[in-house]
Amino acid sequence: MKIFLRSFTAQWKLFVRDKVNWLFSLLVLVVALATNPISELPETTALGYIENIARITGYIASLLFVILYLRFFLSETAKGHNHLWSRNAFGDDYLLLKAGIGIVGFLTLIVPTVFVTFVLSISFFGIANALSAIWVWLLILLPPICFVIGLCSLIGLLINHVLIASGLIIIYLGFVLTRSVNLGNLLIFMPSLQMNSALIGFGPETEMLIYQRLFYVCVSLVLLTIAVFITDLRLPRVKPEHSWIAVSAMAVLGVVALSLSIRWGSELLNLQRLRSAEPNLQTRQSLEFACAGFESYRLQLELSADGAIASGLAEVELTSGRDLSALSLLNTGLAVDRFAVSGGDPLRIELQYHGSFVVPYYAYTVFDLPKEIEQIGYAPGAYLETNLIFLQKLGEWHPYALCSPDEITLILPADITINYNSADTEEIDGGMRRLQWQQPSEEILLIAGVNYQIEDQENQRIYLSPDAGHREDIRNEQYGTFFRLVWQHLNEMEVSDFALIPLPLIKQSFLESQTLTLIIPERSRQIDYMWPDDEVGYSLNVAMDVLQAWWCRQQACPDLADGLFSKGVDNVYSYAKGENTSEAEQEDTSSLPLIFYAGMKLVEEAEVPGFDQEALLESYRKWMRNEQALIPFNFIQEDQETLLRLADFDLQYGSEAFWDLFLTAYEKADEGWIEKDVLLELIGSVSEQADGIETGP
Amino acid sequence: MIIQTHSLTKHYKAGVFALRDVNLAMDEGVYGLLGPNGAGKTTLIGILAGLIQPTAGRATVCGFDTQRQVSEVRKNIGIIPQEYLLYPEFSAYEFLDYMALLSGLDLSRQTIMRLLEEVNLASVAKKKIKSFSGGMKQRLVVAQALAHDPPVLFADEPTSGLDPEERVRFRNMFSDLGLRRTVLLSTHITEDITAVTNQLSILHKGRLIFSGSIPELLDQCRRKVWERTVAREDWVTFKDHNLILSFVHEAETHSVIARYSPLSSKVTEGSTPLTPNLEDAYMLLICQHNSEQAE
Repeated sequence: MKIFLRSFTAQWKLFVRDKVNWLFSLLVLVVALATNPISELPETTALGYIENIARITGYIASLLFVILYLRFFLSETAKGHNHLWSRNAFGDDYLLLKAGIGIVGFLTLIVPTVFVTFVLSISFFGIANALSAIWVWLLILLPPICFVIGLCSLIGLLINHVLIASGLIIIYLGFVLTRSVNLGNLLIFMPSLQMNSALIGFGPETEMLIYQRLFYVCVSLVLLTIAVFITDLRLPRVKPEHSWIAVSAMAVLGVVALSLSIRWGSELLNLQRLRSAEPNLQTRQSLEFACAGFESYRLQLELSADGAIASGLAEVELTSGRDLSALSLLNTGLAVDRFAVSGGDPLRIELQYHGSFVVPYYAYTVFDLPKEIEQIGYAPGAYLETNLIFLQKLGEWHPYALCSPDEITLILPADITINYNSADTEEIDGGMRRLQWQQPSEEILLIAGVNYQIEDQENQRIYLSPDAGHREDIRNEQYGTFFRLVWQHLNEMEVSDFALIPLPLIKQSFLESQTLTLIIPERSRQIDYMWPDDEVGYSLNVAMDVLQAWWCRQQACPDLADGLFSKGVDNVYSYAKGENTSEAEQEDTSSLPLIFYAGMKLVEEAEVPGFDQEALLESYRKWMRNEQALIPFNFIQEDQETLLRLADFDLQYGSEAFWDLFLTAYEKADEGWIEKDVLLELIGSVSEQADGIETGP
Repeated sequence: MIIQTHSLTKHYKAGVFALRDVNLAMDEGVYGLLGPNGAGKTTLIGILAGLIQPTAGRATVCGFDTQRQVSEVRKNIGIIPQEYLLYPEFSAYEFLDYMALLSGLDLSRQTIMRLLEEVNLASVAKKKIKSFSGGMKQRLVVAQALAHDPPVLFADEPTSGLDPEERVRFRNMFSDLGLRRTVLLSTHITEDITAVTNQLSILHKGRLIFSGSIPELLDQCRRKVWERTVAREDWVTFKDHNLILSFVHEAETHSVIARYSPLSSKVTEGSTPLTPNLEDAYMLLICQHNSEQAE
């Protein structure tokens, strides 16, 4: 033990005295500070700040540490060091020592970054918050570093050439880090900020993330065990006489690590496979045809304690004359246990199934989805995990996701906390809760799980995830404020009691108007990151989201939401001379400036600090004159004109006239879109009406 | 015998023999292993150290089989390699300590200092290796080979690249080391051998072409080495008929003074017989071996 510890110290000295290693340390510090400017600290939390820095450090370290560690690891295995391997004890614990120094050395090298981050965190967030967030470093960085070290040890021993081995490992890690590989990411070795790498998991502790960490740590141990075995075989005639204790310990470690790797790996694969939420365009389109053939559709679902579907039963009665051709559309995440057909005409089908349903990441809302899916709108309809269960009426938790069930029976363990449910009946029997819906009209069936807390604030209930940060609080508050204003202007009454439910599943808000429930997207920190210090843009985003939820409350209009948020204020400011870069496929997108202008009015009315409506409109006028201007939404030329026309109208006839116009436009809209001619005609007629009132006899 | 080999053969690829049927026996003291580059010297040391597996034959060191009792063999040997890597940021003391730790040895401060004294580096024990000269680095490598005080030492080309002063220092050091150890000094420099030992083996193209004492080798060459002054115009013809061991151009007389051995039994007229030295004997032996192989 004494020799091991002294060897450890000596190797650590060797590692830290290598000046090249400290260049790495400096690089990590510079990148960490450059990507997280101090000016942005007031806008974030200690956890968010440290998490961001740890993530950036993780990406850089995973790639660069390969070279440093391989240089160090292979320093005694080069050809000129054969004489060392003629020593008796040499090689016994060589690899473990090196791996240990790899981890300790890495922790040493990030000390400057940790120190600076910690000091800044203390200054901005206080010592308690900084201390509570510091564990994030270890949680985020250790799995990838263990993996890098395990991988380097194995590949290094097999190839025994620093440059070749480094190249191969870096390319491989590039793939793992970028996960959804594209050439651009690989070339710059920079994964998209919006993407969660398989290697560096971050965010709330979802099952996927926990399995991922465990998987990479176990795989690292397996790699190290294989490397130890190869060290024995491959390096020059090293055949130390191992004690049976050491051999047994290594064998047990190897077997346990391998078993756990297989276990967590299969769990991961299972979760990936069960991501039936993965939008399947063809299925979704075909479902309309399937649903049309249903005379009745009843569902009975039993959930297990961990939120998985223990068993499900779908009973379908087809309309007379329909055959089974449309019923092969089962979601890939659900496994069929029994499929029984009875009756002649109409046919009756009983389909027993089980499965799980997981949307793996918190940052789901910023996933890049195919354009077609964006337009169709993608609400997977369920979120089942250990601590969170969320069920919408239409969703991929049942075999025919877009067919509205006539009856739903849901059985789940009684000890699962229910935060919200819209069931008609509820009873508890034998430790199980039974919820039943007859012709469910509400979109939200159930929200359950300990992750959500309910807060009552001024006649509004907010279902809050503990992961929501400070910015979320501001957003939630603004959602409430804007929702009240919208209701006041467009429904001409004060809203009395409503609920806000932030959910990680949805990209845009939607309004359950019967129960006055506004389901709002729970944003990840990544989206906050894109809003460095722009409260105005942030507020505009919320206002537009509330307006689109109101606008689309009766008829889903996902392509409108896509138009509003894929190119609008949800992204970044455009700062250029007037160029029309908007690529809306909708021919006439006049609804966009209408909703945007209404959003501006809400922000102005709410007196959001820093918002200057006239200055913003002046920017659009400049843009129209082809001058340089900073604008939050890059409209096409026609929509710019419409926006300014609306502003003129508002200026001339006042707020009340504008909201009347908005309401009339809504009534004339088809699937969310209003044609420009119709809108201009409306402006004209409302103007005439107003003029008539003003100048009438 | 401390070191013994029996019909030791090693071939890497079909037809490429690194060693062929080598039989050696060495006891205590310094032994020279002479041979041109690529003769198989490093391969032989590798096999004796248990680093390389022979294709055929066997070798023992201190009575232990180098294949079956590797562990015991390693306890008894130290290697001064031809190529080595040091850690520039370590001091001599730290380096020795580290090397010993890697070998599972926990050396005391006194032992490390004694080792450094043995190679005349005690005064620079705390200096970083990056400030050392080539000779100092080489001596440090010797010290690491002695860390576990092995009875057998293999030195593979230890003096190549050293300046004359350092080379002399090394020769003396090996003479000292040979007093209580078996030292196998592999080199292609004949002066290194004559300075430290009387016993040598010569390897050429993987074959052991001589093993014995230096006087025995010189005896074989008696009346085979001559000197003659050759006119410059006759020099080309002279070279074709004799093995030239060394020569000097004489500018004033437009002639060449050649130290040579006749390729036939006939000695050129006007030649003076010389007492052969080790270099002459080595060259003659290599040449003779090449001729035999050509036949």
